[in-house]
Amino acid sequence: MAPAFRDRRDAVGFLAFLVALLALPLVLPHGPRQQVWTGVPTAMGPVGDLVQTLFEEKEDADVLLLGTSPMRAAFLQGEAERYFSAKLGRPARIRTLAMWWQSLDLQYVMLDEYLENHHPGLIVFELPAKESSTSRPHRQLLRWLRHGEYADAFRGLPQRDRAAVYAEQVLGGPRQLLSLVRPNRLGPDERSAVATEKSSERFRRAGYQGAPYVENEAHPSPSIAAGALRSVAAIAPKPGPEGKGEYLLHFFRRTVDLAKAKGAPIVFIHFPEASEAGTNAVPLYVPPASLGSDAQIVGVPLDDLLWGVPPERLHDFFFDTHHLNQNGAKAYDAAVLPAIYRAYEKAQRR
Amino acid sequence: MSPLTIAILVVGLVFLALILILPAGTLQTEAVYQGF
Repeated sequence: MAPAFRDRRDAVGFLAFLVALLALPLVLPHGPRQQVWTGVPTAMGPVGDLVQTLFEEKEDADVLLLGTSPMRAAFLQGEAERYFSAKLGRPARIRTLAMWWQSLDLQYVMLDEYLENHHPGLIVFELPAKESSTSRPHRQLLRWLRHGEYADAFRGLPQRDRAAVYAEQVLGGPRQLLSLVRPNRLGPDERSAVATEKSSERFRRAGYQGAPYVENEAHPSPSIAAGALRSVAAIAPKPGPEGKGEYLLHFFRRTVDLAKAKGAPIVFIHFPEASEAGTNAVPLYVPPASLGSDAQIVGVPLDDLLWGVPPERLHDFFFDTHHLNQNGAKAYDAAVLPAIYRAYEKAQRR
Repeated sequence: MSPLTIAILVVGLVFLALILILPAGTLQTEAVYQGF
């Protein structure tokens, strides 16, 4: 068998290469944060919209929607702005910070950077879901977090999670190095509202898990608007095996605390999941205390949202178990926008 | 085994451990999307 290395110099070179890769996150200089976000691939969500919302737009949002892909799926493009504009009698500004894949470390960092330069009238924060949440670092953390950034926020986490974060940064090191050599840029096609909607297109006219889309005409949107804003005390928590892990809860609490520390009013939102059929309550998969004592939740039980829809047609309203499709979003928007507006009005009166 | 071989083995194992500890989905999303 041929030796792995021709001579000692080759072996030392290989060792040095491995050590350099492992240590790269520790020695990489940090360019501006905007460069990091611009380097995020469009496969992680509408990156143009994200960069514009965080860095380029100077005006404050009336409402900031903070979450993950179910948030993009649940609100049809422009629907919330149309509703708020009509109510306010002026053009409303609704902005969304929501990228794909769960893990609240990303939401914490996005919110922190948004609040650095903005004061939204209301933050609407997506509650962790039953089906889609994971209590590990975000699977694309290598793209948006460099070693040493947000060190405080990651302190106190289990060693396994901290090691996973470093592993992500080792994997992302060469890409971050390239960003320093050749700056990332957004193309005009990535900046447009069309690009933002295109990223959510897959959820719209799509049937359940690849099934053909069936436009819902038989069931009008429910008129349960006033009932969609609930106090946390009226919610049934779901503890036990469905309870969430330490990493997710850590960043959930930190995100809530961050909003409170910056004086930004926050309300929580629950998106129905297909697996919730047969329930007439809004479930809560995090400890109620983590929301704060006076917390309010925007939500609607699935059975109320799709009241009168026969069980065999339930899937006509979902793209998959945790994303609504266009039918579902139409019903959901009609049900929750009045509640979000009510929460906004309350926040303005404070 | 020479100290150099041991060093390569140790560093290689650290690499392997980091790969194994990556959050589920990281390598999959990288492979599928090639989002470079």
